[in-house]
Amino acid sequence: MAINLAGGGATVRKVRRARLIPLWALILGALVMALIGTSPHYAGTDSYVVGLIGKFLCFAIFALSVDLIWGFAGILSLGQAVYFGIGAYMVALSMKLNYTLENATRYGGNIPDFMEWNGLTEVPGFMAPLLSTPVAVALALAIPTLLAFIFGVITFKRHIYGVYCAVITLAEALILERFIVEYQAYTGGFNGITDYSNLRGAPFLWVIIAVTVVCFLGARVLTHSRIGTVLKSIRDNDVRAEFMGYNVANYRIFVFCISAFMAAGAGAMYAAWVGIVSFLDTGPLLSVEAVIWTAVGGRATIIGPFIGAFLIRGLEFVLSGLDIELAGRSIAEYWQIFMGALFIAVVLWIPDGIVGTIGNWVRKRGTGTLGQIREDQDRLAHDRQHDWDPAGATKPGEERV
Amino acid sequence: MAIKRRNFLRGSATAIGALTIGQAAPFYFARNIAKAQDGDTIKVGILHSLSGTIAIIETSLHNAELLAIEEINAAGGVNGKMIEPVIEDAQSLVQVFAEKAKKLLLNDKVTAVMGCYTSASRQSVLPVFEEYNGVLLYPTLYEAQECSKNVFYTGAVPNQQLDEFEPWIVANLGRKKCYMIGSNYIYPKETNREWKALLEISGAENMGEEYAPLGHTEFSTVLNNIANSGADYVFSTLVGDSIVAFYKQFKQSGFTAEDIPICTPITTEQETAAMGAENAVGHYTSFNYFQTVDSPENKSFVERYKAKYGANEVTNAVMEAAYFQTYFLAQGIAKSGTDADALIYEGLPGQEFNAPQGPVKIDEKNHHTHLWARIGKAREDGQFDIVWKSKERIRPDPWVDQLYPNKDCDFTNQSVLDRLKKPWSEEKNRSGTMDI
Repeated sequence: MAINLAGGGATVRKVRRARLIPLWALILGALVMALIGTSPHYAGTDSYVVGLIGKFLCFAIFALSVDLIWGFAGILSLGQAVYFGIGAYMVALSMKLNYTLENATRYGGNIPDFMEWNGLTEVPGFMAPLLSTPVAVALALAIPTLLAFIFGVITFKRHIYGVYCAVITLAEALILERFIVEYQAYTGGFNGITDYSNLRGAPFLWVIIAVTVVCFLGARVLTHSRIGTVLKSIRDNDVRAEFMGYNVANYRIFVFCISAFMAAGAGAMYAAWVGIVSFLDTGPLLSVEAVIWTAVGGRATIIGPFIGAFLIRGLEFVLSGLDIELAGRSIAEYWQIFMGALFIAVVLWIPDGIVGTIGNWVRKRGTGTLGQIREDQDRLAHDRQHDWDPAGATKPGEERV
Repeated sequence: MAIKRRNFLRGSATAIGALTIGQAAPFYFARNIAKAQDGDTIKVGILHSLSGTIAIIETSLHNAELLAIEEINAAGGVNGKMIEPVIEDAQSLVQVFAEKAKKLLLNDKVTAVMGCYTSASRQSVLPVFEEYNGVLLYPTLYEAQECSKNVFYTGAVPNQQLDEFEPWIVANLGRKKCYMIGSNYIYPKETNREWKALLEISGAENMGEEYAPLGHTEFSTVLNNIANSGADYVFSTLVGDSIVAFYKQFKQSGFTAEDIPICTPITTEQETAAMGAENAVGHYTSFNYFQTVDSPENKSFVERYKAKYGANEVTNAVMEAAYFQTYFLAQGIAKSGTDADALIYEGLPGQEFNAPQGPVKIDEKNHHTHLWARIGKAREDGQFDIVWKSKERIRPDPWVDQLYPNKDCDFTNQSVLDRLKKPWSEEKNRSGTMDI
């Protein structure tokens, strides 16, 4: 396996044993989702719960994409929703175009309503490829990845990182948001794209669950591979990693593209599942939210973003409709105070997030699990930096002296 | 892979825990359903943004609806049952609007929902209401060209604010050179389309048309263009923060309301208060309702609102619609019961109410609302002097004749009804629009 770069058998055994837990949790989580999703309890009257689960799963993948670059590679992006949003818009446009071909809009025409009130009389030629679903999905994944690559080349290659990088990503999100609102003849503008039907119910929920599992397993493999180790060493000390001969920029570009690809996939499924996209899905707001989910769940952990997204989005949904009177007003009218208190509490008392803190706690009791694996990883990366090994010459599995 | 006993136990514990949650959760929701089915109260959803970017205005709608519900319940409720509001915060996010709408209809099983403010939010919940056959009462003025079976529109459509306004400007202000400035989205664009048609009818001139990005607050170029265009009045459909910025900069760059008045169907007491009343003095707004409307109903409405929510609160037109639509709903339920189709076809159409703005009525054919037209001139204290009022309430026309002579909306038409009777799986067009 990928981790045993150093040390004797003891470490290897420990690490492997530790890895079982999150895998368990992951598979269990998927099973529970599937159970709830297909349970007769929710089938009829409560199908909005199924809707929420599919949506939260997309958000969980999106948060994972943030965690990959922020938690594991130290790149804080405040514009990750750009990739999520482009993925979502491609799919939404495709579905809207196809839907209006069969169902007349409120104007009676067969082109999307937002084109009609902007004076277009037919779908512009450059949008025609979107009528084909496979092409739309391919574009939904390819365009964000390509954008991320370009972004990576022009920032990381010039050694722009840290807070400067965060500011540029934020600008990126603002630009796209403005672009979408302004070019309303093609994007639906402020109103977004809606009324194009959506994929719902069991078959597509299974697709989302499957993609979620693949993404989380993939992230796990990536972060525990040699590349993952290098990324973490870059996160902890990029200058040193550079001196050791690693091409820091290339590693960053690589993980940034993977992350964008993941975010785009989440966005694409989200648009198909929810049936509405809006400029808010591409902007700073959602980007920052994903960062918060990751922080609350636990950055640099695999299931942290998952738990963060579900917990916060779930809490928000319940609290914002909690019609219990407190101090003369319904809680739904000022529920955000509670969320604010939660965030402050997390930052003050559990800065490692929920999963990170549980990991630390378990590690203190000496049983070696979530926290241990991080610790081991960090130590391995650290050891590796101390041994002068410029080309990364040691192959996985080799004993090092 | 070897599974250690400890891990196996831990995993099993997690599994059992998760399954318990999975199995217990239905009871939480089942309880809500049970609550909905006991017939002691009539559940009504209140779906506005209480947080986020449009919370300020939407909270006032939320408040007005709760005030009306309180009054209705104090007077004995509807058919002996109390109205129970189910409050949701839509957080100014369109997706949240849609999912909350779904929750209200499917889980809480509300009789009807009062809610939404922006066109974006209305359009996001439309598919939900149409598919699950819910009833939505929507209080905002909007761009029209919509006519959903499941929505009752109690705010103004362009013909109710514009058709009398433009001729009035020509006749009373003697101005025929118009410059149009609006925010770049659906409402201003559609409104200006109709305004241009009106200009043509009265032989007035269109001196320029410009759209600023939503939220734009820098208007020096626009003001320059206005000065150079030779226009003698400005027709503004700017919304939100842009209104405040535009009026301020308009005054700062030396324009006066006597030289070039701003005429608008949007600016309310809320905005004049935000910009500082001295920036608005002398400009004109066309609306159905102003806080200064002189009627006993309005005086009592303003008094009751201030008593409940604070003496510094101002009332505005959208919130007045939110208030009287609650009465429409109560009367509709009293007439036809709580079944959605009964409400849509029998209960609500034709309902009348003595609203603060005057007697209003839901049109039997197009499910929009007959409203009064007024023109207000802003004065020093941020309120409006009503300088003109329509002789009778004006019929709403969601497909204005000037622009759409071949379309109409008619829920009494048999062919429309036949189409709407088909199940959702067969027919997704839930609009009452038809070609004539």
